[in-house]
Amino acid sequence: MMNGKIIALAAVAVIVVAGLGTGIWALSNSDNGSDAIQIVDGSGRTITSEEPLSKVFTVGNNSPTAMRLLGLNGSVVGASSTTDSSVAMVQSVLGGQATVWKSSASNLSTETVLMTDADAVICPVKSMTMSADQQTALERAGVLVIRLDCNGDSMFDDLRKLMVLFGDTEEVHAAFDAYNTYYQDVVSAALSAAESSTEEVTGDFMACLVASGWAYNEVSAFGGLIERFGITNVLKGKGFDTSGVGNSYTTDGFREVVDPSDVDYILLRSDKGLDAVYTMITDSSVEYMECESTSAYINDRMYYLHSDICSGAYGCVAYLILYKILFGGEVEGFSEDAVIDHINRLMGTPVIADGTVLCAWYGSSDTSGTVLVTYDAP
Amino acid sequence: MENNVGGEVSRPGAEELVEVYAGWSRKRLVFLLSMSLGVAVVSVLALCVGAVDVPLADTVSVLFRGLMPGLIAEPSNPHYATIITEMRAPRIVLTVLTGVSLGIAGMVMQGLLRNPLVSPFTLGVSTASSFGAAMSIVFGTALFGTAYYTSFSILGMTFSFSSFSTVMMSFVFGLCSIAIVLFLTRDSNVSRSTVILSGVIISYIFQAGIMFAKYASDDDQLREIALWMMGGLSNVTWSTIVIVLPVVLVCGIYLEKLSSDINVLSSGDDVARNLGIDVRKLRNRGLVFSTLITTVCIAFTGIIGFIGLMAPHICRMLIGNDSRYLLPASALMGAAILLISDTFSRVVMRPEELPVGIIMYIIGGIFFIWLVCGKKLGDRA
Repeated sequence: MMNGKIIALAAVAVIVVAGLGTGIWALSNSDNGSDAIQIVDGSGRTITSEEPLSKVFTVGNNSPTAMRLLGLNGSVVGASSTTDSSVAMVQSVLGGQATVWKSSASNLSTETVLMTDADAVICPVKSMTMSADQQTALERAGVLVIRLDCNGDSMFDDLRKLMVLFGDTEEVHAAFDAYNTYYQDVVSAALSAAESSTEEVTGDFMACLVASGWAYNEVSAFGGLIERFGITNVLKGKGFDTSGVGNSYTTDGFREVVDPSDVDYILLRSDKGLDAVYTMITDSSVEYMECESTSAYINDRMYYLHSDICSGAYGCVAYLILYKILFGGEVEGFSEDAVIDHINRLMGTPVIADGTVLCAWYGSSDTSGTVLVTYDAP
Repeated sequence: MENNVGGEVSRPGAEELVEVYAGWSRKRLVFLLSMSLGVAVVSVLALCVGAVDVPLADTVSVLFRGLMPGLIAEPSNPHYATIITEMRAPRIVLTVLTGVSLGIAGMVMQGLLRNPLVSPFTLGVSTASSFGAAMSIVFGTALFGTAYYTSFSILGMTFSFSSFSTVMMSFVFGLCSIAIVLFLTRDSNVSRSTVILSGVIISYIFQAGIMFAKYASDDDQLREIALWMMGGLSNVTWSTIVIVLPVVLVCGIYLEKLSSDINVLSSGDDVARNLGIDVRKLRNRGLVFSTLITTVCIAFTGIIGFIGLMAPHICRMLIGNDSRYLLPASALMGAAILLISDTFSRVVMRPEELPVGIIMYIIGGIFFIWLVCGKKLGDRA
């Protein structure tokens, strides 16, 4: 009994001494420079770097493209992506200088990142990203973890943050300005054309991410993009959860509050191909909002848009497509082919390949899908 | 006819018995020493392999350069030191501690409940811990708000709040399982079968909670729950070892002290009572400390199955059923099995890491198929 108590007390003493020792050691190694670079990343953390970053490891597909747009692809010393095709795309975007591993972010070994000699890792904020434990392990090894989506609503903010992290040099600033100006010119041209169009476009839309059972709600970037053309998200004001960007429309609650006859347009975002999309949307086991009873289907106003043009580096192309399908005609001065070609050249590789179907329509008159817009490379 | 010379009583055959017993003890000690050496060798080799292969010479350099800086050259890559000392070494230490804990806990529970199919998870520890982890993952933000996504420091050790919450909740709920079992079996006349059945009931109840958490989760949370339940030893830090090591040491030493009584218990509850052992107290203490030693490890690693079932079985086949030797042997065997499995999980799909639980279930399944087939062949013979 006495021996047991002694052992227990000794164990407690070991814990206290070890903890104090670790604390004293760690505190003595802490440092706080006054000329440090600081940004607030996408997760709300303040990231501090003593000097501009020079070597980074990227996770996912969006941060490599962001680095390329800023002309910083040479600073990427390693990357990871989840599929063979995305690995090939990232390799091309980065110019073949970095090693790209095929790995999901949460399973990626932190040793691999460390061996690339990267100063920092740039990974998405929440989805398909590094875990908190991986972050802690990397930061303990002296590698910053910076969470930036580089996509959707935050894309340009994230590009600005990357500029700051890399020292905001003239070359990087020039690259950003050139891309930003071009992108905004395309968007402005499309919105101006819509505003001055004599065509009256009203009604409600539902924007869906095909194959996930999702509809974008009013806080989503994609939904916001479409609303700029004067039509309203059918989910708006219905009391759905807006803590995320989408809601599952396979739930009974969804069907109870959304009347199919109110859905004038359905916009389907996917990269799965036309036949696959239509099978999914009409497959009774998936039960996509009973789309065949919607006004959109009856009036041939279901549209497929390729995922890559709906956000990210090519997001301005969606404005041209939406103008075309809602108002008819082309936006003066900008065509989809020219815009995609321009951005492909900035990427250094045809991220959107020749022949990619950008838009198609479905409806009661055509159940197999008719291609409206295809990218034809010059 | 007895000869009484100098107080010693000698009987015909007694010396032979003593010699046989001494031989058995030597054999067991040699086994323990061999296992210890084996674990040490595998540990060093495990330091060398992973997503990045570190040459053995560089590994030795990193480990021993601090002791003999003039004699040992620096490693060929400056990152090797960080990989070995900050990433792999704590991981390997936790792997050994977890294997030791599960091996000990499995052996003790099998001895106390006199059932070779009992494991550390029989009394609902795994499902209760999984429930705690799932609750933290899915409802962490609801419980703790934005603090869930922050980091904090205690005595210089940095923790992410989300990881801390998952560890604490899995630990607390893991202990709740044994508390509920003890409450359900508080009657002094309760049988071993009742104890096991209580554990099964608790498992089902917590399983329902896990299923609810999965239903309420989003895709990322669901994946996180699934990965936690597969078990993993990645991103371990020395602060984890500081927490786990004292608990494992204290519980392990205490359970070794109980091993003599567990030997007596193997002859039956009545025999043990007649020899002065409080069977109920022994069983309760053994189960509590086994659960504690298990829970403190799986709170950090997730569920790693089969170690507690396999390690005692293998050792029993090799060195017999004396708990005084079986307990340390099961500990070392558990450590060896888990070390090899974890090393394999780190290299088989590199740079990705496979959850070690997957490897354990494959190994465990093969082992028990072999065991069953072996018994069947034995029955026919």
